[in-house]
Amino acid sequence: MRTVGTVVIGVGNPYRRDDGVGPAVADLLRGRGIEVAHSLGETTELIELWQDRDLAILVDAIRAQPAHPGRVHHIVVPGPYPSAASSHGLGLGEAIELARALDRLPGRLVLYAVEVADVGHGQGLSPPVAAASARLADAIRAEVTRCA
Amino acid sequence: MTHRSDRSLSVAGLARVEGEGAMHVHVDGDRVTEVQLEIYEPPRFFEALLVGRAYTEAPDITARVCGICPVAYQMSACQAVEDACGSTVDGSLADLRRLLYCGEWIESHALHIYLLHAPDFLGYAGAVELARDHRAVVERGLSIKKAGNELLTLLGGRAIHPVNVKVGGFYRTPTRGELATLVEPLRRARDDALSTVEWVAGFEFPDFAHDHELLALVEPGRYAIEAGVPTTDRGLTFPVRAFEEHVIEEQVRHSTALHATLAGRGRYLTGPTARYTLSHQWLSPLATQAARAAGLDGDCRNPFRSIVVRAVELVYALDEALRLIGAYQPPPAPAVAVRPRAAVGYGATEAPRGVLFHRYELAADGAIASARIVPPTAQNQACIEDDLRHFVAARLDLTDERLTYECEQAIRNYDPCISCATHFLDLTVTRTVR
Repeated sequence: MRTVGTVVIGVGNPYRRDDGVGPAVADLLRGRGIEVAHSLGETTELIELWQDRDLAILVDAIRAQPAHPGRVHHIVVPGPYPSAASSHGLGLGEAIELARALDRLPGRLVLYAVEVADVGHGQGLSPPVAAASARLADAIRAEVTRCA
Repeated sequence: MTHRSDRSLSVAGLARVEGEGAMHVHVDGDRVTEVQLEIYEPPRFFEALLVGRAYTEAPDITARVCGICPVAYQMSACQAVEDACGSTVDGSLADLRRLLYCGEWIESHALHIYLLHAPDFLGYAGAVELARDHRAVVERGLSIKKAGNELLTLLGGRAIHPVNVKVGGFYRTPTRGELATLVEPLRRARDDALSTVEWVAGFEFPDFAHDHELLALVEPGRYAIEAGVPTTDRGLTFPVRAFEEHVIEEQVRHSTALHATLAGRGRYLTGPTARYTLSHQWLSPLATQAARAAGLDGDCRNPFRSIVVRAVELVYALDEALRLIGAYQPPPAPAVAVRPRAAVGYGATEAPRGVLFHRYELAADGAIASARIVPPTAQNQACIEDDLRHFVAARLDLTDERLTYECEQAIRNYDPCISCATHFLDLTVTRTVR
């Protein structure tokens, strides 16, 4: 099955441990009839990736206090979304709002945010985040199949 | 009867100001008594954490200083390390570095012009609000930025913090065919950049001129980007290795960024308007034509017009990128061998925001013994404060709200990181009438 109108975007840096959970989920779905992409979260790149899609599913890492590593938050846009606390460039919230103003949001935009344990240097996910990524990939596959 | 009014304009949090900063302006009657651009970003210790690391790691570690201009850090670091090791990177490898740097200028300038700076001139709170009313214009900006990103991705491996740069050159160099795929997007972006110059030239600019000494790298024959000799508009010139003799950094109480001055001369300004003033004669014919049509003469001293200069530099960077791609011959090897030795090396390049200086002291095995980084933001801090002092003094009749808004704009004239936030104000106005 190939779902042309859907893309799963894994946002994050695979060389910073759990920050790579988005790309890891995307990799688990690769070759299974779902179009996937990796992104570092750059505004124009995100807008290019999700525009004209019926459904875009974005998976990103978040830090929470107190942390429950592996806990997944599920958010369905529309927002509006506040500005992110990034010190450089624009954040995801601004990318969404900019895309909304430009009429370049996908038909449906779903965000999955996975709480992380370790964003130090290196590859590989911590055990709770790795387990969450497998569960999330299964859930996304089911969601995409249902929507198709 | 005496009548006296104290006014205090205070911006508590300049969010996304390459770290954390605030602005405080105090006015006593018709006198501006105090202006502080307070940068309270916690120290990041980059210079300290480089100590003990291998000479080959400097480009990748220092790239993390900034997500907008990582290439500038990589290029200044490579140049300094290669200087220490007595290595020369020239020919096609040097051209590829310049090409990569053009990509960063394109991406950074497009971001600043369209998403951060233009909303100020058009009365919008930010890029999102601008996009609602001027969709085609913002699309044009994003499209230019995308062309810059594509150049960075092809040469650097990715658009943010490129991974393909190494001391001595690159891990992999592109084929002519790969570079050819960029020609069409870059041509379109160049057309869009010409439209950008026309667009921003039509903005209304506050009447304001500063008298700062201007410092930029100069490379006779071409517009300096990845190399050049530090030169000022008042006749001072010195080799990069003498940078620390001429640029004195001092700690000030209100900022964790060091304030820089020129020894025996005082404050100075670096960045696009300094570059333009010192090197405009070496712009490409197309960029020169665009600058003239936009009403720029050889000397730009109104910081509000820096948006026009950035747009002209955008045209130049795209023109230069196309020229470099057209002339490209793949180098025989992706990098030259750089062998460590016990020595000190110096590097300076033109980051989008101005001169970025690096110095490394290496041990015989290549371990970094000491490092020094002088970024453009710190160099410009004193000038920004001076601008605000004069700017406010001439506008005391404005309401606090309007004056604060214009002060923010005056800060945003200088720096995409400082001005990164379009809505960063948590403003407190205190007005005392006695």
